[in-house]
Order: sequence, then C-alpha cells, then structure tokens
Amino acid sequence: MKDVLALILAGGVDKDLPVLTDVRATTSLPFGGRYRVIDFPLSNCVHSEIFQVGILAQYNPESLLAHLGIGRSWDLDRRRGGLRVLQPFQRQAGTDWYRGTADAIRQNLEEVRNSRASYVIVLSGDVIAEMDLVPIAAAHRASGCPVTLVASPVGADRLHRFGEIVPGARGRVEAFHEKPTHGRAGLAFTGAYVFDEPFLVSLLSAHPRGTNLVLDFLVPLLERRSAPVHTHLFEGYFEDIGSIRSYYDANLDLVGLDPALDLSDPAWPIFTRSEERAPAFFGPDAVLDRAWVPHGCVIRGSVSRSILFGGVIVDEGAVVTDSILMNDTIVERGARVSRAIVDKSVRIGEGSRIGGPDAGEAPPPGHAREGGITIVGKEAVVAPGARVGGGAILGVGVGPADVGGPVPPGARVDRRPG
Amino acid sequence: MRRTYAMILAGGMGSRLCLLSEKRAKPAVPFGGKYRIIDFTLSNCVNSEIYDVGILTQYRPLSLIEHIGIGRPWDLDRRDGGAAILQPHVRATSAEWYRGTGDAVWRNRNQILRRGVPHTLVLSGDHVYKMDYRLFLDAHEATGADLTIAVTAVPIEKASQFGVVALDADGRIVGFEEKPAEPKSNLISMGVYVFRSATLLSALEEDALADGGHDFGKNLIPRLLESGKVVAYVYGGYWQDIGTLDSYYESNMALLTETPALALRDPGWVIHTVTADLPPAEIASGARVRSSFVTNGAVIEGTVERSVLSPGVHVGKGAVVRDSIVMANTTIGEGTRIERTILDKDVRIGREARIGGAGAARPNVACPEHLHSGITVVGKGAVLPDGVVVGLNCRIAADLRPEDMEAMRITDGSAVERRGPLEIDTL
Repeated sequence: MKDVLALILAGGVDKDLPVLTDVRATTSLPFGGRYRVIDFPLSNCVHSEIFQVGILAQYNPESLLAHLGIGRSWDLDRRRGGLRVLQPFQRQAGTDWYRGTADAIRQNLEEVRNSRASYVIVLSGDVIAEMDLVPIAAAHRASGCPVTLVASPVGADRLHRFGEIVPGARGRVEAFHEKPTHGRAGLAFTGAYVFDEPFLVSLLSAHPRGTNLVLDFLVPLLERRSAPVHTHLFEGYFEDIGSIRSYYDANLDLVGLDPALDLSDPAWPIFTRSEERAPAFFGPDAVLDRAWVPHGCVIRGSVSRSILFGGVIVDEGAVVTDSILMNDTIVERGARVSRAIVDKSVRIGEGSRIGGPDAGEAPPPGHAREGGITIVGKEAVVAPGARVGGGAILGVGVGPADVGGPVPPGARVDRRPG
Repeated sequence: MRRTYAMILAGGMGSRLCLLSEKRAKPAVPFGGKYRIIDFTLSNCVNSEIYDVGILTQYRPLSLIEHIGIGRPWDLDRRDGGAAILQPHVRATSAEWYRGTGDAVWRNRNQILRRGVPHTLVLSGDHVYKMDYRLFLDAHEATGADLTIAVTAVPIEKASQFGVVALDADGRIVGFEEKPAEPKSNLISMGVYVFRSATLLSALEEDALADGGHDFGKNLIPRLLESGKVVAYVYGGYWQDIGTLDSYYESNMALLTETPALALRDPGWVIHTVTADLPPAEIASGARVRSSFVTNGAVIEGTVERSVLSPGVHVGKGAVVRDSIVMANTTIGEGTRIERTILDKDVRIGREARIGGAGAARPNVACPEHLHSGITVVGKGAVLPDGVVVGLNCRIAADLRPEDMEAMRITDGSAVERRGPLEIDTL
C-alpha cells in the first residue's frame, strides 16, 4: 500500500506499569518470550505492505531505539520510506515536548506531508494484535468517510478499560464513550485509525490547543457531527498493554489451556530482532509444564505456566510458577518464584521466596495490584534466603542492602539514593 | 590496507554423510539445532574482522545459497567486500566443472588478483570450530612463510583420516601425507590455510598445468613443500571435521552437557545464523525434556531426552525421542518412539511407530562403511505411516511416501528406497 503512511504512537508514560516502565517505554516491554510489544504493530505494517512507518517516541526511548536499529528485522531499512523514529526536536519558536498523541502527530505534519501518502494509519504502540491493515484500508476507502476507527468486540469484564464505539447505521460511528461504566459488553476502540491525509492535516491544524487525539478531536468531532466517522470490526485477538494485570494476563494466556493468540501462524509471523543465542539447554533434572522457553535459556530446575526470555537460567531445585522472567535473569538453587514479573538481569538468590501463594502469603484484600502479582525491577539482586511477599514491588536495581528483612505482601522497596 | 581475502571451499559432495548430503552440500547440513555447518567458518571470519569472503560452491548449492542469502546474518551484506557465491560458470573458450579444490581457487584467481591483498585465507566450509584468524594471520606474517597451515592434534588412531604433517624443531612443515595408512604423527592439517597471495597464485598456476589431480591437500601443498616455506600454526581449541555420519552424530551429542567442548553460549564469539521467525519452544503439560538442546518453534508434548531439536519440530503426546537429532519442521506422531536416529527436515512420522534403537546390528546394505554403528537415518521429507517399525542402521530415502513401503517392519541394516522417480527433485 504505497499510498499509506503508518504512524505508531510509542511515546506515552504509563503509571499503571510501575517499575517495568521506569526503564523503558511501554511499547518496548518484552512480550511472549522473544518479542517486544512494538513488534506487533511493526509486523502488521510490513505484512500489510506498508513500508513507510513513523514511530512517535518521547519517553525513555533508549531500549526502543536499540531494538529498532535501522529497521532491518522488519525489512524496513529501505531506500525510500522505511522506518523513521520521530522524537521531539527544538524549533526557533514553539518548542515543546509532545504534549499528547495529537500534538505528537501535529509536530510531525511536515513528515506526513512529505510522505505524499493519501492515507495515514495511526496505531497504538501498546497493542497486541495480529491485524491485517489491507482490508481496513479498503473499507476506509469504500466508506467515503475521512476517518475510520477499528473496533474490537469485548466482554463486559474488559470494556470499561477502553473507549467504547457505539455503532450507528451503515458502518458509521454513532457515539464514543471513554471508559464506560455501564458494565455491558460492547465494541472497544483498538487505537487504530485510518485518516484521509488532508483531513488529518486540517483537523490537527485547526485546533492547535488540542493535545489528545481521542478526547480533544475524536469526541468533539462525533458530538458536533462535523464529519462522518466509519468503523471497521476487527475480530482477531486484541489486547492493550496498559496495566500490570493486562501485561501479565496477555503473557500468561500464551501458556494457558486455550491461548487466543497464535504466534506460530506461518502466514503472519511476528518479526523481531534476533538475540543470536544458542538453543535452550535442558539439564538432566529439568521439569517443565506449560512453559515457553526461547534460545539462550538453561533450565536445570522446574518451570511451569511461565514465559521465559532469552538467557534465563533456572538452577537445580529452583521452582518457577505462573511467572514472567525477562532476559538474563538468574534463579539460583532452591529459590521459588511464583506469580511474579521479574525484569531483566535480576539475580534471585539461593533459597529465596518471591511472591504468590507458594510463599505462604495471600495477596491482601483490595490490593491495588489485583491478583497479588509481585514485581522485581531490572538488575535487582535478591539475597539468598530472602522473602518477598505476594504483590510486593522491588524497584529497579534494588540490592540486599535496600531490603531490611522480609518484604511484606504489597510492600514496595526502592533503591536508596547514592 | 586490508590484509586478506577468505575463500571458503564449499563445493564437495560429502558422500560420507550419506543421506544428509544427498540433497545439500555438506556445509549446508544443519548442526546443533539452529546452525548449519558453514555458520562456524563464516562466523569465524566476521568475528575475526574479515568481511570479504568468497564461497566456492559446486555440488547442490541451492540450500547453501538460500541460507547465505545476501550475507545478512553475518553482516556480510556490504558495499565493499561481503559474501559472494563462486559457482563454476561457462566461459567463451571452456566449460568445465571444478576439478578439485585447487582448480576451484585457480578458476577464481581473478578474485585474488583484483583485490591485491598480500595474504589469502583458504578455508573449508565443513568444519565445526571457533578460531580467531587474526592470530593465525599474525603468526603467518611474523614467520614470513609462503604458507601457514593450521594443525591440531588428534588421537593417533584417527590421524589416517586426515592430512598428517611432520614438523622440524622450528615449526616448519617438512612432511605432509594425505590420509596415510600408517600415520607418523598425530598432528594433522585442519584444512585451514593462509598463503602469501603471490605464492598461492604461482602454485595454482603450476598445479593447473600439472597432470593428475588438482587438490590442495593431495597435490598443491606437497609440491609447495619442495619449493617454499611452509609453517605450522598449532591450534589447541575445539575443531571437528564433520567427515562421517558418526562424527556428525557424536559432535551433536557432545553438546548436551553443562560445559561442552564447543561452547555455543560464549557472548564473545557468537555463531551467527539465519533466525527462524518462530515463537519460543513450547513445553506442554505432561511433557518431559531432559539433557537436550531445543530451539524456537519446537512444540513438545511428549518426552525428549539427550536429543537436539531444530526449529519447528513437533513431538506428539506420549512420543519419546532419545539420543536423536531431529531437524527443522519434522513431526513425530503420538506414541511414537525414536531412538539413536537422525531425522532430516520436514519428515512426518505417524503414530505408534518405532524408529531405531540401542545396541549393535548388521551394517546398512547400501552403505555399510558409513552406517554401521547403530544409527538410523530418515531422509528429508520422508513420510512414514502409523505403526511402522524401523530397525537399526537403516536408511529411509528422502521423500519416501507410505505407499513406497513394502513392509511395515524394516529390519536392521535395510535401505528403503522410493519407488519410481519424483516428478520434481525437491530441495
């Protein structure tokens, strides 16, 4: 689709993903054992033959930039078009950070113009979906509307987390409600838009004070009925990584009994940067049950219902259950990790207990992090024999000296300054 | 100035690998789950900062060409240098296949002349080893030799399979015998050479004009020993010539320990290869995986012990895979048992089958010299029906279809061939 430019919104700060996004943008969170969240929108673009892709980045972009490189892993290192990371830059007048999604695009309208695209597809960098954009663009063209929103049917348990699209006649959007509280099932907005390029340019230019694409532009547009908005139904798997719970569930669902997301579909592989590690090695006493184990792992202990990333080592007698362990984390002999998200390069000392019911502690009732998921920040070191309760948080780089004694359920320990 | 250009010999038939090299050149044979044999030499080149590599192919190069592509996994997609496949071609006055390794390099002498590099590396594409060629070149330059040959010590009983060298007190090579019946030492040539380019070009010319063979080990190097300074570089690291089916099997199995002699987890010397776009290995409920190498895209529902699995392998419920090598996208049906077997790519094995086993048995009738230690080999793309029983030392032809089988019980040492030719000779 030569006449389409894709813009991926990858710059937001997510306060609902504590510790994990202290060191990276949500879009570069590791996902599914060897991917990052951004791999999904990027792979969707190239499978849909969109080879002009702009990534709007602002917050903590280092790990994202290292992952993207020149776009090789997605065949986006191209002479024309290709991958472009669009970060805020200084101007002679009116310099500012991106103040919101709409502002980020507005600050790059020159880029949009120069692309000579007739259509601009805007995607969320935080959404996991295998989405073919070709039929969506075709439906948009046929609709005669200047903007299309992609909707996904979701149950009553999830709709309250999203913007709700209320469909009208002939595929039009009747109304839009941000995070509805009515408690029913409905159509969630997936964060994917198709715009006619001239419409997008004039829309954003007309309201220079507007910063948020949904609240400041989409909602007023629908209320005033100043332009017809089309909606296209996407029936596949869709999840927005907006909280610890959604991140945890979306990963653990892959090792569930009936995973909704198929990452081995040969027609829609998810491309990512290869870490070039040796095959996983399973020791003579390894015990596994529903685990995803990528290259570079060494499993000598027991792993069940868990997602591991490259280079994770699980030593003899260690037991990992219902957890996500990111790259190069080491679980030493006899340690137990359950219901935990353990970030990269963490060392979990011999015989320690991290999180969950296995540690003998129930998540406290009404705890902020539903489900008592324990989080261990990047490069933390957990001392041998330490106890970290369910739903507790160890911040980035926490060491044994920062932790006085057992960490109670739901408590938070951060690294002491200095 | 760039000091070297590397030429990798990758054209040989590798017939001692039996079925594995029936459809591909030996350097393209899968190794260690995710690699191919040539990855080691290519990675040694780029890890040694040599980014100008010619790959001399002749026998069934398509799988190798597909693997190398434009050289991306090795960062060899370059404007200046990079990876080039040098396949024999027709000229206005001649049309001949390469007549040997020396002839292959001779016919590509323009590559050396054009570059004007002072030294030329001549490497073999079918060895598994990790070697820093920079140190090798440094030693070569320091002695001012015409040719430096990397040599390594092997058990004396194995020396007769290689080129055996004799050294004087200064490390000069004073004797070189290719595959002698009674080796005089256990120091053998690794088939890793660095020549002064000028010497190489004149030795190639002499070799081209001479009668007889045109092979580095058999012809060119013995001649050069008479006229030039040939020095040994003693290499002490891991090196394995994947010459026979047994050495292929054993060197894969040797990876299945905590600290294998061939360390693949060394971040300082990564072996680069083409990556499959597949999710991590999935170990299902009720599965057991022990002492094994498992790659991305594998789905294991049964038991895997002491085995090497390539990407996309599927082991069904209740199936058992022991002491085996299973290549990419092969599927093993429920309840099937595989033991001491090499299953090539894209093999389909039905349910409740039994392939291979432990112990000794009569050698294979079709290739007794290579298939005699109990290993059974199933060729690429073969489809074996439910309930089939295949014994030891068996050879099951590539692309075999269930209707080609005359019996459901294949006795030890049998070779099962296809009936009738294939419409297309698949790769």
